[in-house]
Amino acid sequence: MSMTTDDFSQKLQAVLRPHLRFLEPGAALTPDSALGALGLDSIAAVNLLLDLEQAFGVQIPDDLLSAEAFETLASLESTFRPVLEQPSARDRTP
Amino acid sequence: MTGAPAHDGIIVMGAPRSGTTLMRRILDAHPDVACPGETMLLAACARFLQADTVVEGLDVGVLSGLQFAGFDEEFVLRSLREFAFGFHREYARRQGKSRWACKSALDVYYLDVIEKLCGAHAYFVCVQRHGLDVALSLKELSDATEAYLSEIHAYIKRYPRPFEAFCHAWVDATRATRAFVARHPENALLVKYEDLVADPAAVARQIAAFVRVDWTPEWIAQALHGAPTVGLGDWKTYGKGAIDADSIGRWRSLSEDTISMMGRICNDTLAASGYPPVAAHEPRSPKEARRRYELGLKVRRLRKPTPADAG
Repeated sequence: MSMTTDDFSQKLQAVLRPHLRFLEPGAALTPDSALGALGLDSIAAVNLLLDLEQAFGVQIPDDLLSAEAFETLASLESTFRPVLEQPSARDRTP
Repeated sequence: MTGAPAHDGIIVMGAPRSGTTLMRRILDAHPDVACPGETMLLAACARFLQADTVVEGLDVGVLSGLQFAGFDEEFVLRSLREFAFGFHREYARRQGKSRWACKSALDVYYLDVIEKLCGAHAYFVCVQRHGLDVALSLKELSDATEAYLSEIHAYIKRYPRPFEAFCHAWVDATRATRAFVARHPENALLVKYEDLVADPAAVARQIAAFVRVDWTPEWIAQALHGAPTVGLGDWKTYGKGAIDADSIGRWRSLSEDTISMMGRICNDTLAASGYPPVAAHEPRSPKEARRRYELGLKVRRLRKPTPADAG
């Protein structure tokens, strides 16, 4: 079963927020929020990728990794949605 | 001041980088107390008393050797104690002061022997500081000096990752100090470095009452505004003209993984010492560690080149 767009965005943001150390608790994220300015440095990006892989049960392919992907919430979502929205390993039935 | 002091000496104890040099400067600034730079006397006495146990449990060392020569342990300990204390008494006399204090950063690693030597014969002011700040400060000191003092090197040999080694060194020192204070409530006082820098006057009042010296309002101001006596010890405090809280919580600048690793070592002792535990996750599996390494390299490759890269 695939997620709705809202479900996906909410789950993505829930995984993303702890990696944005300059984002005030409860502050809104908008599609053009600049993730670097909010604390997503290279170490945070690695941690985010690992958490995304764990939360969605997939391995992110190398060809999706680009500097642009981590620039804004919108770019992050559009880059990784195709792979993260696949039915996760945990959801798959044998 | 109420009543005469039970001891003329005050020994500062605590893990290295816990603020013991600041404590030394505060004590030395008191009109009645003289505390020189690090004399290393107590640790040297402890090494003097070290013995090896050989066949049949026989101790081969000074105490055992002198016992065969007719000198019982108490006589040897008293003689050695008076030898060490004598230098400090004479130093205080030369400064025109009636009380002496001593502080050497590595004494804490000999606390069991120092307790045997003089645990009941002096006041002890024990300083405790957050373990991750201590470990970070030890790391900075080692980087700056490009060396490990031998007591710390013993930890490096056991734990090759410096932060891991420094955390274990802090845990051992802190547990030993807290246990010592619990065994000697009448002559050992535990103070937190964080409390000392937050309200130096309040902590100094507490110390004055405990070691039975008069409280004077000028004492703390004199501690950092006066020129410190030169000696071995932490050179960083020599450049300080005020007590501030800048050194508290610096561990938060470390990476999440480093904090987590340090938390796994320190959290029990932090909790026992009145500090909240730090965020710590379980060690990563080899598979996860490999994936992290792989992603780290790939994300690093995304970094835009800078002029420094060209050089």
